Amino acid sequence: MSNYALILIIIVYLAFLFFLAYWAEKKHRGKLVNNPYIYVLSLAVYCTAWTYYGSVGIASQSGINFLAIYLGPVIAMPLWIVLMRKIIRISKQHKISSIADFISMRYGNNRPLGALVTFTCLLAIIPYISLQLKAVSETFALVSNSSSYVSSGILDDSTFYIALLIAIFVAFFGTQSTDASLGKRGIMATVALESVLKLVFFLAIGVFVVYFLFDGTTDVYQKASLMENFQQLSSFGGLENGFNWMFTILLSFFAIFLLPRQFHVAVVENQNINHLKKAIWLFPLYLLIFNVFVIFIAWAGNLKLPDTVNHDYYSLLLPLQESNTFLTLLVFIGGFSAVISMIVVSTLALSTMVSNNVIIPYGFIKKLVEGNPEENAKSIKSIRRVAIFILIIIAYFFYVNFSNQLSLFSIGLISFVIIAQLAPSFFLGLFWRRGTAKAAKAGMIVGLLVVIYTLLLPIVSDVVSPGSQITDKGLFGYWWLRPSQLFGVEYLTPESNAFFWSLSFNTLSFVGLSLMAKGNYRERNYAEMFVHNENYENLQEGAFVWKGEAYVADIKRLLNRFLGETRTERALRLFNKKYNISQQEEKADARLINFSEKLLTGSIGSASAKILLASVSKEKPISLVEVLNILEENKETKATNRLLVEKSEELSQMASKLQLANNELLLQDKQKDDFLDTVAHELKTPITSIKAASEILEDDEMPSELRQQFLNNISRDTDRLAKLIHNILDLEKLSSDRTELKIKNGKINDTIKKAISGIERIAEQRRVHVVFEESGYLEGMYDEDRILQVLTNLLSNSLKFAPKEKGIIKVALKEKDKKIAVVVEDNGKGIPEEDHNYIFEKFYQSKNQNTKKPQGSGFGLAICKQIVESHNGNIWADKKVKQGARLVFTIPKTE
Amino acid sequence: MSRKILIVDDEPNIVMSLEYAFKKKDFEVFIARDGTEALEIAGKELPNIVLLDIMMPKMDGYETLKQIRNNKDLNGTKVIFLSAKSKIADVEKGLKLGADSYVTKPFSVKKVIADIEQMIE
Amino acid sequence: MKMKKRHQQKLVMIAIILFFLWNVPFVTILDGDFHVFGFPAFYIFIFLSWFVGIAVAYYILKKFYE
Repeated sequence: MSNYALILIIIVYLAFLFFLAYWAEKKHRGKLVNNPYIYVLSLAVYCTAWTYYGSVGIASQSGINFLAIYLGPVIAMPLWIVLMRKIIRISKQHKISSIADFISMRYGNNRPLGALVTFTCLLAIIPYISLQLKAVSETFALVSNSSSYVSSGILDDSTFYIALLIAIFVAFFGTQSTDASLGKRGIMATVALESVLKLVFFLAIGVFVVYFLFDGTTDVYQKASLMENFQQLSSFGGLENGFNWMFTILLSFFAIFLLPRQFHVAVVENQNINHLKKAIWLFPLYLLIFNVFVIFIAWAGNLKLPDTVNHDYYSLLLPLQESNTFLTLLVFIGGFSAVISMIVVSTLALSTMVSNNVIIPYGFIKKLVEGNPEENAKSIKSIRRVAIFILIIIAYFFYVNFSNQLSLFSIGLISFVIIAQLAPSFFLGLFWRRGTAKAAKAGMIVGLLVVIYTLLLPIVSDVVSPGSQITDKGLFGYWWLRPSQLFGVEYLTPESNAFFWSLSFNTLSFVGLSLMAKGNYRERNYAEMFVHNENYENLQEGAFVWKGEAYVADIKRLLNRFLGETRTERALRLFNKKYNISQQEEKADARLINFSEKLLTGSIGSASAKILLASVSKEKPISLVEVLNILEENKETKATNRLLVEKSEELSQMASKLQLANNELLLQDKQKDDFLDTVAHELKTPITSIKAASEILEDDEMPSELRQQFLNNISRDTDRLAKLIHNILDLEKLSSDRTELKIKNGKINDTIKKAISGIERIAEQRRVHVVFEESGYLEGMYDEDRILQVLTNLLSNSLKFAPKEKGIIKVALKEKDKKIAVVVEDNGKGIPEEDHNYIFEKFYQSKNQNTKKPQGSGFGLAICKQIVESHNGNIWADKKVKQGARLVFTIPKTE
Repeated sequence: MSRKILIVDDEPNIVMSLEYAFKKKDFEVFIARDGTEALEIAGKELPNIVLLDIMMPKMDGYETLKQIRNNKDLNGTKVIFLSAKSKIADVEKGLKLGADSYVTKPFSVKKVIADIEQMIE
Repeated sequence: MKMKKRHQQKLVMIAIILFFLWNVPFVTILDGDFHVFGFPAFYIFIFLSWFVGIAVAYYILKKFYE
């Protein structure tokens, strides 16, 4: 592929990213912003060119070690539910914009500590960025077929321009707001997209290699297993590797928290703490998928490609060898995506640190104090922009001069080892209150010195003076001072060696010094706020301990410079309202100081904010006793608050109970109305019939048989009327508990037989067979007359519905716990399913008031229900019956 | 011209009286026991008058009326509710739905016939 | 949205178990000479435990994070 075509593709791709970022930035409130998947995908900025190319290189040369880099994060992710939640909460509470801010804030907003953390990060990340540039340049050379990627000058090196374009991208989208703690939606959208692309394209090459170049994974394995070093590539190896392996896992465990770009995407860009729910399982899955094909690409490369090529680029060289230009291009774009997202987020994070933790607090602060808000916003932005360009340019020069002899893997590990120096003060600081700023600084410096000696010195000395003796013989010729085998430990890799010793010395210094001397009151306050952050979440400014003098006017002037008049006015108004402070108040109290500090932190970093506020206020140290008192006070307020909350919850519960009771009454009222309606309707029907018939009977010409029929009708309707009235009265009596039940010990078998004999005659007429399946002899406590009424009612119903001639009615007895169940079953048409719940109701169902109740039920079943329930029994229709109806009721058994 | 009347009610005794009275007045009488049956017969016979109960199994009188009004063939059909529901709200609802008259139960057969004869002329 | 301490600790357990599982001696115990679909024993062990870890974490979060 020609040079220019490739450059064109790169430019088109970058333009697309610009467009995407711009679009996402505009769509402020869309789904895009508060989206857990964007959050998870942006975490995948962890996978850089190192993952994309380097893993294959390692897998093809030394075996399993590439995996350890992902196992650390996979182990770390479940812990996020505790750790990351805490970190994010604290960060949002204090408007933290970088890891340097976080650590320096924890140790009392310590300015030198912030600068030291920034320095550590720069030391770790700049070489890392330059290695990413190296990957771009080398892959560019491979794809474009130009034989030499070491160009004659900067100006005709395409990598230089790519680096510049990236710098412009970050400078444009990364500095939209002066408040660095606000999210960068545009950039995160592109990072998420790039994470998708790099994964998909890497899988594409994996599939291509395994299924097109070979005949599946088993085929690759079988062919590769014939190679001589295969045993080493495919298994864990000896015990000595166990330490290297564990240290690498630990390294990557720390890195997922501490790398500036990881802290940025995981903490600063977190829009919603609940996104962690997705991240905890989805991110490990992303990493898992990324790693599935690595070994096969590596083995395939070993089989197909000459040993002289750079193993890192197998995934590019394999399709290239097959002249598959399209796939080559995809792989290149995937790798390019990995590079860009890493550089973009890293420079964004680093530039914020450099400006907020170094440049502003150490140089620019005076100028800022004198400037007006627009100018200040402008200068803060320009500081960050310049920082971004300088960072990328330094990385570029480092790449040109240094990076030739290092692989992606080793420089990545070096960077991790350096970053790991933040671990003791970061992790212990979260849970251990004693840790002090002095100790943190000391630990970090000691750790860094050990890293520089054990890891960087050999590399630098190799470049600067190749013949140096230090690496082989040790400093001053002492064998135990050999950098890569410190204290004579022979079996560790240089990185593991450096990691182990540096972190040991670092932790020891940190813990030891923290125990030797207490921090000042300010440090102790912040320690308390970080370690027990859950206590202070709701207290915010109020929890801050500060004693001193300041005037509101001074603070206001200060805020005006950075936020502008309108924002300042608004913020102060809100503040006064919240704490009920008069607008005329002249003296500022601790809460205002802390509130202002937080407002400023987002723009200029915590260290600078502290300096600025110190300049307008006279701070007086507070004794530990006072601190404790204030904290105690806060706890008391919290307790009172909790009590109030409980009380109000009780009240609202009572209110809802009342509401419920009221609804109940309303419902009953409505049911009463419905009942009366029903009664009226039931009564009117026979009356209508009687009235109509009697009018017709006036007709003299009516034939006599017809006349007789009408007369019969009148008589039947009159009976019906009388029965209805009786039933209504009965029901009313039963439901108002005015009837006294004459409960006695009774033989239910006899009662049933009595009921059956009562209907026998009608049954015979209809030729319906009534059977009593007597299985046992039971005695119960009941009012025999009433139960007889129930039985008669049920039997009459069954009679009505059982088919003539073939009808069968079965009565059965069952014993259930302490109850007797009586079952009346027929083989009629059954009860329609929708009526099951209503047949025992004395009211029409409220939903469909105009459709009639199931035929024939009248009030009979409602009365049965009342009777059975006043015996403490139940009555129901068995829904499981397929043919006919089965009605069951229970009465108490005699003990 | 023969006058057709459809009586829709699920109470056989009431239906019997009405049937006798209308036959006497030379109406051709059809009978339905519920809404669905009523629609079927009405669609076929195109009666001049429908006497409609409201509380019926399966389909109530309101719904039946709605469907009658939706049938273009039954444009000229007069519908009269015969119902025990006698609250003013019920009557209003019936008339609003497009009934031509609303008679509450119990009613006088003679008066119903007189009203209907007037309505047809 | 919250998760009870008790359920958070289940996730912490996953991390602890994975850490032990992926270090000496377990990695050497489960390092064999066979392969399944071309994946050597060691990789099968790592990938499988990795996946199980994800599945369990997913289940716990789905069930208890509310």
